[in-house]
Amino acid sequence: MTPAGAPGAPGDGGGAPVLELREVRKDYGSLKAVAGVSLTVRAGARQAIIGPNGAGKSTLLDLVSGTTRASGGRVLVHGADVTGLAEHRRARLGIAKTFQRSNLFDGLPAADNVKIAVQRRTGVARRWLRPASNFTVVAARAAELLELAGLGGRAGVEAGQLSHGERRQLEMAIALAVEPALLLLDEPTAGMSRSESDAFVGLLAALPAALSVVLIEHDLDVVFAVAGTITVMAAGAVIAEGPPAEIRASPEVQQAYLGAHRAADLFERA
Amino acid sequence: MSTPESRQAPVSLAEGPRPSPAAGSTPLGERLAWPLRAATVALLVAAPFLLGDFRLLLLGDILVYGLLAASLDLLVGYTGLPSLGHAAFFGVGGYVAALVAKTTVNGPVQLAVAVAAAALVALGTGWLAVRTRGVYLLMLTLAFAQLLYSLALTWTPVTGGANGLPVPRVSLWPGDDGSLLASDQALYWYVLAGFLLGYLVLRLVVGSPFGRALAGMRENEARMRSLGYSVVGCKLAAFCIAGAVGGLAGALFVQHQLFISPSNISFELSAVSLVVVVIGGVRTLYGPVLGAAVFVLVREELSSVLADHWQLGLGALFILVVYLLPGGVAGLGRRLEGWRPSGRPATEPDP
Repeated sequence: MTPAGAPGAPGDGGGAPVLELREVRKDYGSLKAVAGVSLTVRAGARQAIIGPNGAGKSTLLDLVSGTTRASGGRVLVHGADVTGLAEHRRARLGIAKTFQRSNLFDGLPAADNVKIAVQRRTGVARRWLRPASNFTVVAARAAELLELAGLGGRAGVEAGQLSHGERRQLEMAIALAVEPALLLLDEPTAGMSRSESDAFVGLLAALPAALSVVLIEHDLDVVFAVAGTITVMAAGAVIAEGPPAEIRASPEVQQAYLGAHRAADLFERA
Repeated sequence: MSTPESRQAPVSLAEGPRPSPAAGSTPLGERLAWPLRAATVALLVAAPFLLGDFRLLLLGDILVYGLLAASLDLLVGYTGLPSLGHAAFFGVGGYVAALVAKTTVNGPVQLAVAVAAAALVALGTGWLAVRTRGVYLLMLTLAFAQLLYSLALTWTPVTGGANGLPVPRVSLWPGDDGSLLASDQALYWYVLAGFLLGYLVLRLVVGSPFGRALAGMRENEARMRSLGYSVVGCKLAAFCIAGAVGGLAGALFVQHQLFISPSNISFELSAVSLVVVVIGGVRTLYGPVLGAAVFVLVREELSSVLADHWQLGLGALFILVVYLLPGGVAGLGRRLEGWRPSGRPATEPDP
């Protein structure tokens, strides 16, 4: 597994905009979690969002996926306004998300976790009088995705019994199972070991070039390995955006981090 | 219900695939599943030759209450929607069948209308109910069932009030003068056929892709939403299916007992249904039928000894089961086979 950056050398994607945020806001009472963020993600982009804890990164992803509704501003997917659209309807437009803390079907085998996603995508989820085992396409696709995520031998194990790293892998398998156009990853490598993170970077690099990926990530090794564009957030606002080299050199960014972290921590391994 | 004791140590992504513990020899229960099913159905069909009139009547009761409990299991066990008002659908099915009986004695027609009515009522109440959860869902279903109960009690011109409604014996098809189902044996077979139909539908549903989606709803609603599932839609569909089968049970009850009154659809029935699901074994479908058998037989035996206090005995039994038999009667059977201790819906053996 080669660390990424290699195939399809992702820039900002260069394609048509998949996601546009226009002055999106989220207020919790007087707290402005997201204070007017505008952002464009193009087809094929590998965009990382970084910033200190509490910068509003996760909230921003929730506003995109529809898990929380925006207090103001607009969210456009493929040019269509989805600001008022329910989460499951946005998901059907091709948005998939993995969660900061693994969010799985703990009582079900790993294979069923993935099948639930696959059968939604293939449109058989409403079949209610035919045995699920008749739909061999679903099982085959689920097995393929488990293999891809490195869980090939763990199909029969309940998700709740998997290790932390394996749960992160299963998160990815589920998200990819819906064949999204836009993949939102909320701290995908949180709690992973170095070798697990490396494998994850390899997995990201192997994703289809047309897929747009937005990831929140604290591990800057991962960020600089995969991101074509980096967006830096602090206090609910975007304070910088650009290619990795530019961000790395930006004094503004270092400044933003200095409150909570030392610059050395930030770029130590980068 | 999961078993935390065998949590795996973290493994590296780089490690190769490991054999799944489930792979290998087929568990005993799975190999026995089909013979067991066949034997159970054969026994049920042969029951009129093996049992006296009274016991055959009891067996019919078991099938009716068993079907009701199994339909509740679809909600409680499979979908994770606890309901304290399942008697409502039983009541709608029963009363509608009784009312249709004034127009036609054709049994299947009565069943069809009753099932449709129950499904419709489930659609209406479910529309509200599935937006709530936990205690609120319990309260809402309970309130709705009580509403229907008092309607049955007070709308005397239609429901006969506290006196209930007697109904004539059903016929099988239009040309039948009623002689086909005249004997208690024939009527039992008719009820058995209705039971098997309803049970088969439930079994198909829980094993279908939709059934898998219901398991997803039970496990993690928020994740389902983010995968593009309509949580309200899925739960509502489950509510309707459970309501329709519950209505079928109610209609079969009327056709079997030739009578229905408000006391047949009181809160007691909702509560007992829930108890029976737990006694029998949640998320197995056949467990609740076994639970219904326990209930009917205990009621019969104890009411001759303890008279009106027989429910004391049922209560004690319930407490014993909860403490001694996690997984219910069905769980006991599974443990005897060396089966996995916790429920795994799709692959249960099944009578």
